[in-house]
Amino acid sequence: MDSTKNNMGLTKIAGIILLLFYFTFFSLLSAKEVETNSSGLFLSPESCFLLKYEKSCDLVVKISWRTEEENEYCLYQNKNNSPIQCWKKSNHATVDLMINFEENVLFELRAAQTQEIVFSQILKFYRKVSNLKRRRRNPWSFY
Amino acid sequence: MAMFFSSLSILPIRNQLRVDTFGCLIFLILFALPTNAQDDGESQECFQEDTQCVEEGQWNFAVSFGLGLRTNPLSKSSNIPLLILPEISYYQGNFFIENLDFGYRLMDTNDASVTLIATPSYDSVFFNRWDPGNLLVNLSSFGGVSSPTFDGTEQDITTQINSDELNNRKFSYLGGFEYNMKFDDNLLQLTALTDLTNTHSGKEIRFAWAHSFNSIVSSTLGLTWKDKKLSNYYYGVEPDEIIDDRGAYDAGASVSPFVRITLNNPTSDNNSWRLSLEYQKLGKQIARSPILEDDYVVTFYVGKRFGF
Repeated sequence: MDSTKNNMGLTKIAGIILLLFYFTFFSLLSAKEVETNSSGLFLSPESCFLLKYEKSCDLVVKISWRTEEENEYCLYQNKNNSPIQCWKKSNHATVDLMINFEENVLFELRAAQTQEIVFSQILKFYRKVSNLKRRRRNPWSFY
Repeated sequence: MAMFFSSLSILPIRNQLRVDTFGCLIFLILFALPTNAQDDGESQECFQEDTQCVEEGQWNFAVSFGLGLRTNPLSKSSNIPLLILPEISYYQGNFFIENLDFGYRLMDTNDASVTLIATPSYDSVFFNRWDPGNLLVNLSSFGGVSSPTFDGTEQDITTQINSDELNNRKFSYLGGFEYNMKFDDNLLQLTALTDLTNTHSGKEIRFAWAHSFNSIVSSTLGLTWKDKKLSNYYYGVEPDEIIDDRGAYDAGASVSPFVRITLNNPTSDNNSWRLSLEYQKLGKQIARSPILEDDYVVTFYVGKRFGF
């Protein structure tokens, strides 16, 4: 009987710990998401959805970046040798880029002197195809 | 269909009207149909690069390799290892197969869907080693293989249960309606099911609320309600199943809530890394069964999924 009570006690404690972890972890995660001063390369919008009758995406993408240290950085598109733009002694910037594309576009922020890739992001391209079906979403399922 | 609406009866009890809860759920799910009845499968958007979209008329196969386990609440049973998890799916028109689930979409838009669904009751995987749920491991609820072992100690004698009798819990298929609603980064799912195989004549209601925090991390809160017939068929104990002087156990209806955290990080078109942790608290009527020793099930899995 004591063993059963102990097990029930442990179960409750485990459940409480898991719930605390759940809310704490995701509170922090949500807080991080709204953080505007975090380092990284950010795209807005992050993707383009193309309907069946459209051939390519035409849009203005807002590209912003922020680094820990000031340095000379350049922004590249799809491994091109020539940069879209470079900044001298800066740790953040924003640029609006008019772009036409038919596949995913890779953006890289590189250190100008070493060509080391500091951050990279993919502007995703989605095309609607008529013979595709959306899979059933089943949140009750473990997967 | 008549089976579902028969449970929609209004019964006079103690001079008051009692509306069958299960029947109400069926009614509410079907109530969602007329306003969007003109929507067919074409109204939903599906994009070639979206991993949630599959080609019609083709069988889709995937397999996950990884490490994981599910705790087994049955007495004297080992934890269940999760190593290789196969997936099979097929979509044609409004009909689909997802592992052991068969469905027909009655309504499907970007924001909501109503599906006629047939799905196994996963409770049976506890009791049958070669249960279909153990061959195509759908990790959709707690489950595992019952392999009670007795080492002959004095404590075991007082809790020993005739395992041959326990093996009589049969595999059963449930059928009913499923309603999905999507808003922002949330997905609500409500499924009302009843026994199609006349195994226990039980009913089950599944509810889940999933929230995506970003493209990788999501969480789910949910519950499973099983009526008395279903709970008692799998977790009740008949007098001839026990050899000591305890009485039989008559399980009642139960509610088992769960919480889950999932990380899904795609690495290429068809592959992805996955990590999931789920804690399910078994309903009191199930947890009190003498064939169980735990009142919870923890499931953990980390691995890589390969799509073909």
